Amino acid sequence: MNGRFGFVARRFVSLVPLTLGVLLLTMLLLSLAPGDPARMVAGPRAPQSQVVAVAHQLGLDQPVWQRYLDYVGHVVTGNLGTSFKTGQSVAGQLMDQLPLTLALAGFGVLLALVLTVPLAVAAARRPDGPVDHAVRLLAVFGIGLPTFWVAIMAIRLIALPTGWFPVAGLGDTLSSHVSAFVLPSVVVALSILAPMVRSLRATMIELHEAEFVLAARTLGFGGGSLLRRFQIRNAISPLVAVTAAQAGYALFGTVVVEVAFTLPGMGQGLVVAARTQDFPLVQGYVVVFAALVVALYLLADVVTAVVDPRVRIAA
Amino acid sequence: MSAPVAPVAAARTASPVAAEAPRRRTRGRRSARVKLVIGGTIVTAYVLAALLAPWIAPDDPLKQHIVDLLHGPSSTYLLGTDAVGRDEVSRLLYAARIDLPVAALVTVLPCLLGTALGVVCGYVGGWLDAVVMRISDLLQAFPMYVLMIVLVFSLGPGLRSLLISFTLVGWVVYARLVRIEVLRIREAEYITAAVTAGFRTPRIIVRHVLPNTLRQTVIYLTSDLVFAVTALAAFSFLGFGIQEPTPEWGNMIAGADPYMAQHPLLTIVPGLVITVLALGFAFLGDGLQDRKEQ
Repeated sequence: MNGRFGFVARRFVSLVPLTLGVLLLTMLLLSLAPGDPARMVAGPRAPQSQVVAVAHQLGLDQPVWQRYLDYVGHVVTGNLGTSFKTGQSVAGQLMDQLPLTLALAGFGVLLALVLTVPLAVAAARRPDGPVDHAVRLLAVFGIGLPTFWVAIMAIRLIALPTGWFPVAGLGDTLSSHVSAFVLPSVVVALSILAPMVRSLRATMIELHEAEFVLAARTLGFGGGSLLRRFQIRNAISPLVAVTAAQAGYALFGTVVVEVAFTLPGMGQGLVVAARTQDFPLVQGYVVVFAALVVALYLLADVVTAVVDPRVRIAA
Repeated sequence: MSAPVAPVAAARTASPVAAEAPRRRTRGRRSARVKLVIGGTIVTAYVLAALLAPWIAPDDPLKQHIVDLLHGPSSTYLLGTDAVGRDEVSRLLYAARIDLPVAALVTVLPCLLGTALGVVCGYVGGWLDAVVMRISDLLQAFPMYVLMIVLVFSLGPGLRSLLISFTLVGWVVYARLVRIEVLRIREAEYITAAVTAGFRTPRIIVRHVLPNTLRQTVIYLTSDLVFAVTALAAFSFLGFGIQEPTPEWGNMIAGADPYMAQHPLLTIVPGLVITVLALGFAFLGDGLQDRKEQ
């Protein structure tokens, strides 16, 4: 196999053991939880015989490896179990919440990218110049700001006084849906922006000094065409790598941001499930979040392979 | 991308605009020093505040003045009181005694574990290296915070869970960082010399390999503190962190948020306190990194 499809297919196959490991680790981590899940489902005053029956029903009396195999089988067929608290399908609840979280993280990453490119290019144009210093100082601030606090401040200082955005939840109409996304997306974007700007700035400065750029300059390329045809093109691979890493981070940003803005996404769902000790629900969230990160890295590899032929050849 | 024939020392600093290089380097050195001074001053101030809290705090951080709930700033209560009538300034000062040591612990513990694993993996290699690296691949497939929330869920909220979850998740980066350094150092001539001299492996690791990895580790550790400070507060905000009534900046913000309309300072000030400390660590980390690059 070779070419783009071969590269992607090979990457895809290499994800199988990773996914199996993710499922195993999830199970092991959750088995650390104190208390007997069967006792929790049956209720604190249920007789011992009923607890045993529930344990059997949930498959908790099986050996660990058997439970793991069953679990993998269920996940592969899209069955993530049922919630202890509501008795509803975990997969169903996750599917309801997934679009919001994906949209929030997606808008956040896009916005961060849109801000990163001009900031980094402007800063790299004259290293140690005034613009560069301003951008670098902003980046340091960006790293130090606690995301949840920025979210609270955005609600109290922007959303409440102006009344332009819903303070909590999504609202009912399409326009309220859109405006409900504005502030949370901006907060997510700010939470991931700084490392992206720093990374692209460093890449661009390195490229300014690269020999092929010097050669292009000697050949008479300058200004915009030098930037577009030689520098930006070569900066894309590292930018994709840092964006992928930061997009994974944005998924956590959504946890905090969803809680602050009370948006009904997976992040808020995970926190509620953890607070109410809803075992299968927490497990489902972890599996889906991990799957998202794995998918993200795969996507980053694919994008890199498409834009940068060197990667395909090296692999 | 570097010139193939240039001597190593020259290649590091050489730029197409050669005349500009020395000037940029001195300026870089000065800005590194400025960053270190700013960062050092901020962090020292916080450490002093934490140490001196019992003497400089105007009030007991747990004492509830029932008649003065959500009191505005005054000469008695410099920043006012919270929803149950506790003095905000005293709580901010006492919180430093929780947040600083906890932030230090949740950074140093993963660093120790990661460094130990990284050194052994890099120097000894073999199946141990393979196993540890696969585990670290696996851990990196989870969004860090999701993993931490699950661990805290499993172990219950509080200090012990925070320490365990930060350590189990955070060691990965240190291990990878140290491992790569060790792989490089292992090829150095002074290691060959030490091996030839007949020193035993543990001695070589402790005396010759480990000290040379420290610099890179310390740089990362400093920037990791920025993450620790903000993440601890975020965990409190989500309800998984240090619990009330212990004063902690994150739970102070979470507790004051519903009263933002009446008393905005209670939410704004602890956030600024966290941000400034995080900036202090960020400046320190940046300064160390800049100084290393010169």
